[in-house]
Order: sequence, then C-alpha cells, then structure tokens
Amino acid sequence: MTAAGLAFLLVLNTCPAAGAANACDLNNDGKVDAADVQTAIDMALGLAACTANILGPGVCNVIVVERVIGAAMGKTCNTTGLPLPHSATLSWVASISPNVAGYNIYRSNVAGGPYQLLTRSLVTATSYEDKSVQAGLVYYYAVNAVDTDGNSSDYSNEVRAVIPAP
Amino acid sequence: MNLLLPALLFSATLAAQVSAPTVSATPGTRIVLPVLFTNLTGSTVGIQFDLQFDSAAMSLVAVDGDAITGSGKSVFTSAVAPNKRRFLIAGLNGASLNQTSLPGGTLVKLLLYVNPKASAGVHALTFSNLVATNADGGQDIAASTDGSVTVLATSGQGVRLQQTGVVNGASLLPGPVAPGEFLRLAGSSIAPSNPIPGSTIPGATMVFFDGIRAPLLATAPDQIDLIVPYGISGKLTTQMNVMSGAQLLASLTLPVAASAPGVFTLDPTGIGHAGVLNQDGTPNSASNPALRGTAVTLFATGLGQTSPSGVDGKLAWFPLPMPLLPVSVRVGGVESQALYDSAVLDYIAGLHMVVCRIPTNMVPGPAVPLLLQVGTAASQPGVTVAVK
Repeated sequence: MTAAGLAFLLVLNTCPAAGAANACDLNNDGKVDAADVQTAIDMALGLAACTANILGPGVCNVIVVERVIGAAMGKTCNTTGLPLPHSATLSWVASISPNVAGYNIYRSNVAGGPYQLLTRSLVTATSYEDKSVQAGLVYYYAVNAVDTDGNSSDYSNEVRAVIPAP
Repeated sequence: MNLLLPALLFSATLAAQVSAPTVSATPGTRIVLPVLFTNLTGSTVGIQFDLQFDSAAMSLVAVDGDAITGSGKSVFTSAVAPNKRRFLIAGLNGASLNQTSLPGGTLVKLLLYVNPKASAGVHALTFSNLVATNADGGQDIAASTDGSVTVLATSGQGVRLQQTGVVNGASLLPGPVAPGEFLRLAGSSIAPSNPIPGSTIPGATMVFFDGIRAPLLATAPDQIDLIVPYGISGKLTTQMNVMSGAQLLASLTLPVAASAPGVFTLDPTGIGHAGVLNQDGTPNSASNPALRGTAVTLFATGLGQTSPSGVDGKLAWFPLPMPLLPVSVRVGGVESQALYDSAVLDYIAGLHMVVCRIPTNMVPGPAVPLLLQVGTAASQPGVTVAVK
C-alpha cells in the first residue's frame, strides 16, 4: 500500500468590505507615503499597535502592507475585505481496490494526529469541502477507504491546510 | 486486508511556496540555512511567515537572501516570542517603493548558532501564519514545507568529532579549511580538562594536518582552537588527526580550499558588528560610525597562503606577509577600495588586517552589511559595520 501526493485546496468566498477611503494614511498626516508603509510593517510585525482598518479592524499583515504600498504609489487605497468565510477543499486519488464503498475524512489540529472523524457517513466522491474551518488556524487532513465489508484502510498521506486570517 | 490507500492530492492553485531545509549541525557551531521561495505564478509581491524554532537549542539571526539583494525588496523581522520569529518581505527599500514580483530563490539566510549544550536529536523549524499577497492587495495561496536541524550527538557514541564540528574560528561556519585559517574543533572529549597547549608531555593535546603539527590557541574538553598549517597549501584534502599524547582521539579527512575567509566580530559567535577600527583608530560602533570615504580596518582569517610564505606559529614581522589571492571588500553591497591587506604585526600568523575605504555612494546605516572576498571565497553573511 502506498500513499502519494500531498495537498489541500483552499476555497475562499466573499465577505463585506471594511475600512475608510483614507485608511491607508496610517499616520494621519494627509498623505500616504513610505512612512505609512513602515508603520504598516511595524503593525504586521507586532512592533506597533494594530490600528489599521484596511482589511478589517485589528488585521495587520503583509496584505495590508501591500495595499499601503499601492496607495503610496498612486493607487486607490484598497479596503476590500478578503473573502470570508473560508473552507478547505480536499481531493484524492481513489483507492484502486475493487470493492470500495467510500471514504472517511479525518481532521486534526496537530500534525500526525490524533485525527477526528469529520464525516458522519461515507463520502463516495473523491473530493470534500470542509466548511467548518476557522480563519487563522492550521488543519491536518487524512482520509481512508472503507470497503463493502466494512474494512478500513490505513490513513492516507496527511495534508496541511493553512486557513488565512481573517 | 487488500484495501488500498487513497492518496490525497494537491489541487489548489498555489501561488507561492516557502521551505526550510533539513540539516545537521554540531553543538557549539553555526550553520546557514536558506529559506527558499518559489513564485509559482509570478503574482506574489510580498509574503510573511512565522518560523518557530527550539530556542533552548539554538539562537537565530536572519540576513537577506540572494533573491532579496538587488530586488528592491526588504526583509523585516521581529521576535513575536522567544522561540518564534516573524518575517515580512515587502517592496520598501529606504524610501523607495515597488510592487514588482518577488524573485524566487533564497529569501532569508538563517544564521543558526547551535548552543554548546544543545541536546542531540531533531529540532523542528516550523512555519505558521503564512500569508502571501499580490500587487492588487489580494491574497495569494501559499504553502510551506517545514525544516529541521538535527543536532549530532558526539559523546557516548564513540564519535568525538564530526565534520560539521570543524568550523572557521571567526565565522563558526563549517566548510573547507585553508592554510593559516583559525579553526575551531567542537566535539566531545577531544582535549584534556587541564590542557597545556603546545606541550609535548604525555596526554597533551596535539592536532596534525597530514602529519604537520598545528599551533594551538586554546583547548577545552569539548573544543580546540588552532591554526591550520600552511603546509596544506595546494592540496585538495588533508587528514586531520587529534591526538592526546600517543592516543588518536579523532581523525577526519577535510577538504582544502585556497581561502576560507572569516571576519572577526564583536560577538564571539561570528555574527553582528565586525571588529573594525575607524580611520582615527577608534572602535567602530553604532555610536561611533565610520564616515563615508574614510578608511577602516577589519580583521579576518582564512586568507590562504601569503608572500612571504606563512610560517606556522610565527609572530608577524617585516616584511609583513600579504595574501597571494586578490582581496576585496563590499560595504552595503558596494565595492570598496581595498587599500592594504597583510598579517597583523606581532600577532601569530593567520590573523590578517584589511584596510578599505568606505564607498561614498552607499546607503549609510548603523548596521551595513560587510563582506570580504578572498579569491573566489567570501566571508560569512550577517557581519555589519556602522557608517554615516
């Protein structure tokens, strides 16, 4: 028995926009320039209080930094929120066993498990969307195959899904 | 049972990948780990991530990787926890801004110093909080591959010295050895607890390179500081034997290079501010920076064979031996005019001084990168000098 290929698929939906028109002027001096970019960087690094409201209140990261850079270079300050909520979509290569009845999907917050069963019934398709993920967390997934006699295979390879924040 | 495993597949449209390597190291030494980046779609212009490491086993300093140099991007870091460092790479360089594609390659070089008392075993380097962005301020999907540092055990396994424990005495980095190089051996029980360096009495520590006895600078049970004999010059490899009297404690075949430069720093772990004298002879520091256009003196080892030829253990005197290989210095990434390089008067052969002029066309700062090039080899990254 072998398991090969690692991965995850993150599918992002939409969420409301946040922030004001001048939100990229982080130091409130009437212009957006390199000083605002440095402020955004300090906020993202945790070196300054996160007071930016560009990607949403309390969100300071490299996306905010890049939006401030864009504004400093003449673009309109982008205050569109990132799509929410998040989900993680898995797909897998089907077991080549002839009598597979379906698959169980498992999830853990720790690499290597222990895993919790995510699905109440067997999944007969070879993909699954986990809509119960939370922003900013990391999940580890594995699946196994179940045959018509109720026998289960070992876990597949594990994949890691990094859910963006927010 | 015959039920075959399904295999989870990667089917997302990944834009960016970062990875840390899996390496081995010896306690008391330094290693350089590249954090590699791949811009799969070319859309990623900025990225951030946290890297968790075992702060009880190692300390970490980061310097810009080759992909960053000259790209207009900068690496910004902070310690979000004692064992977690945050990295953010964006298009801010001085007052200059850009939203160009982030080049692939080495984003960051991690200069890891493995504590002398670090426990043997695998110490994970784990990514988290990975966020990548494109020029529109949208999110690029990114993935990471964790790395690890395997700290090699020496004691209790019959192995007193690993090749990773043979490091430049200035940089503490492993690599090929060069004639006249200050060298540190970091191992386990490689010297008596009450050593008498240079002594020939039974039990005294001696280190030989192809049978040539090396001058010893200092010894401790787990560490020997020595100078590589000039007699290995021109060889491809050398056999190093560590002896205690007539007992062979360790033996390694080491690669030989024409030069293996290391710059001496104020921090004994080989990173940070270089030991530099300003033109007026005062120590260079953030509060006493060198002026652009003035000469500074740095101290280094591993510059290779000299003219006149190096004599093991000899105190330098006139005519002062000068390196055979060409020597150059870069300050803040700008070529500096090398004015003079030679052995240091009245100091043991192997220690060199290099006098160079700080370029006038460089960006000053309290910690400007300083790089010494000797022949085809360069000194360690992470060394700085203060310039205004």
